[in-house]
Formats: sequence, structure tokens, C-alpha cells
Amino acid sequence: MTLIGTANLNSGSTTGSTGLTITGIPQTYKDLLIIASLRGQRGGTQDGVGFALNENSSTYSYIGVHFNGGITNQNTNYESFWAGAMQVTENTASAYNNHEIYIPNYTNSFNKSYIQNSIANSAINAGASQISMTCNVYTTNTNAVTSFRLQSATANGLTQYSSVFVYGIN
Amino acid sequence: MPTYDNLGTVTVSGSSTTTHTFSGISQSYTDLVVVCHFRPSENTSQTYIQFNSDTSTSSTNYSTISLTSNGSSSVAKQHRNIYGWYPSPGPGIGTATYLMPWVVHINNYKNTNLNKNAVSRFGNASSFSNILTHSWRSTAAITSIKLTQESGYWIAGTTFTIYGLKAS
Repeated sequence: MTLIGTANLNSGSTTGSTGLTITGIPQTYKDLLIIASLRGQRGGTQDGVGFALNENSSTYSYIGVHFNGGITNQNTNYESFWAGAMQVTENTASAYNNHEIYIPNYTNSFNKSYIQNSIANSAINAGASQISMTCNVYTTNTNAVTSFRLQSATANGLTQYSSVFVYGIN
Repeated sequence: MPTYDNLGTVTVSGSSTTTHTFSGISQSYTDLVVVCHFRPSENTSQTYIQFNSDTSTSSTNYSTISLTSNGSSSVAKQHRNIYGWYPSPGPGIGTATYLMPWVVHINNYKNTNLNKNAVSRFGNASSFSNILTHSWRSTAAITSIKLTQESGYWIAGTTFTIYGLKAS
């Protein structure tokens, strides 16, 4: 397993749909493992993580298992590239989510399917705490994954110190 | 981060492959990760995992429990005391036109004092997503892993990979 890319917001936050982008992913590995710590700028209790393969945010579907004290579910195509939950401004200061995305066979010519896990934990608002696991499919693009973007699913930006690491697994 | 060392990969071609065994698994790691990226030719059938020589369909040593969401409801399901680990306890894994990921993390696979346990995640974004736990009632070190498609075959492009994890 080799670290092949990293991005962070150590020098400031983002606005809108600008997030953390990794480009130039080598095509020499078998799988990708993405580890991120994210926090959003949205008001209210929670925001979703948007995950855009090849920086394209359309034509995804997913089904998730979500737990926040009671089990909740999301159906397909909800905020189409939704990939987990993250804390926002109302939540505990300095609390970031833990986010993992595993993409098997990212270089093949099939539609891309992947699994993500996220934990957003808020000591202030239990409703903003959530454990999520989803299976997502990027349904119309069979291109190899060469880049991705993690962003606020509602285009409200990410806060300073959000970060992402991507590992190539052979 | 732990290291991931590739201990074996198979990529399916043609339309007749129904089983594959990874044998001679190295005992040099702490955990194993089995990454299945697969689609059966028959939507109602599943792939299951067995270990070592415990590969009879009369075995009762394998159990799986899942938390399953189909997008509108969540349920707990189980396959207890049967002959393999399944990605989705119940009558199938749904319809898909893409390869589906099933990632199985097996802890302490070589510890001869423990029955073997695993956690896994499986998803079919057209049907459901599962969080699962598995147990194999054997204290034997895992030296081989057999994957079997219970009916039909795996479509071409299906891949199975075993990784050895070692603490960094």
C-alpha cells in the first residue's frame, strides 16, 4: 500500500462546491483506499459528503445503512453523489468526521462501484451524529479513475484542516 | 497504516467459472482482507467463502449476521450454522448490471486459540447495502480460502483478491 496523493485545507477553508481534489492518480495499482477527515461550513446540524469521481458529480446511485440512534435509510439517487455525513458549524468545535472509501478495480472499464464508511460524531447534537455505510455506483462512466473531489454535498464548503489521503493498493 | 500485500488475485474470463481456491496462504501477517468485486450470472444466487478443508455443503461451522438496508427499511438477517460465509443472508443479492464490492476483513487468521471472525461490507446500489459479521467455528489457522458461486457462474471481469495486512 502506497500513499499516492494528499490534499488539505491547512491554509484556509473553501466555499461552494470547491473541496479537496486529487488529480493524476497513477494507473498502476489495483484498488484505491481513501481516508479523509472532513468538516463542512453549512449551518444547521449536518451536511453530506459529496464524492465526485473524475470530478463528475452526476449519475450516481447508492443505498446506505445509516445509524444515528435509530436506524435510518436513504434511497437511491439522494443528493446523487452523497457519500456519508460530516460535522458542520453547529457541532462540537474541532470535530471532523472519519471517512473511508474503498474502490476496487479503479482502472477497469466497468461502471465504478465502491464502498464508503463514515462516522460523524457530535457531542452537542445527537441528531448530527451518524454512522454510515453505503454502496455507491457511478452508473454511466466506465473510464478509469484518474481524479476525485471530496466536497460539501450541498455546496456549502469545507472548513480549514479538512484533509484527504489516497493510497494505492496492489 | 498497515501494509497491504497482495497474496493472490484471480480475474474471471469466459462464462464457466464457478469456484476458485487461494491455497498456501502465507502465515506472516496479522489479518487478511478478501476483496470480491463480482457479479453472478444469476441474480438470485450468491457467492460464499469457506476455509481450509471445511468445504462440504454439509458443514454447519459458518455463520453470518447482517444489518441490511434496502433503501426503505432496515432489518437484521442471519445465516447461522451453515456451510459458508455469505454477503447477504437471504434469498440472493439482487439485480445488478455492474460488479458489486464485498470486502471481508478477517482478524487473527492464524491464531490457533480462537475461532475465526470477520467483519465485512457488501453493497448492491440497486438493491441493498449490508454490514456483516461472520464466524467460522474452527481454531485452525486459515491456509486456504475457497470462493464458490452457488449457481450460475461469475461474469467475465469479476475479480477476487487476498491481501495480507501487517502492522506498520
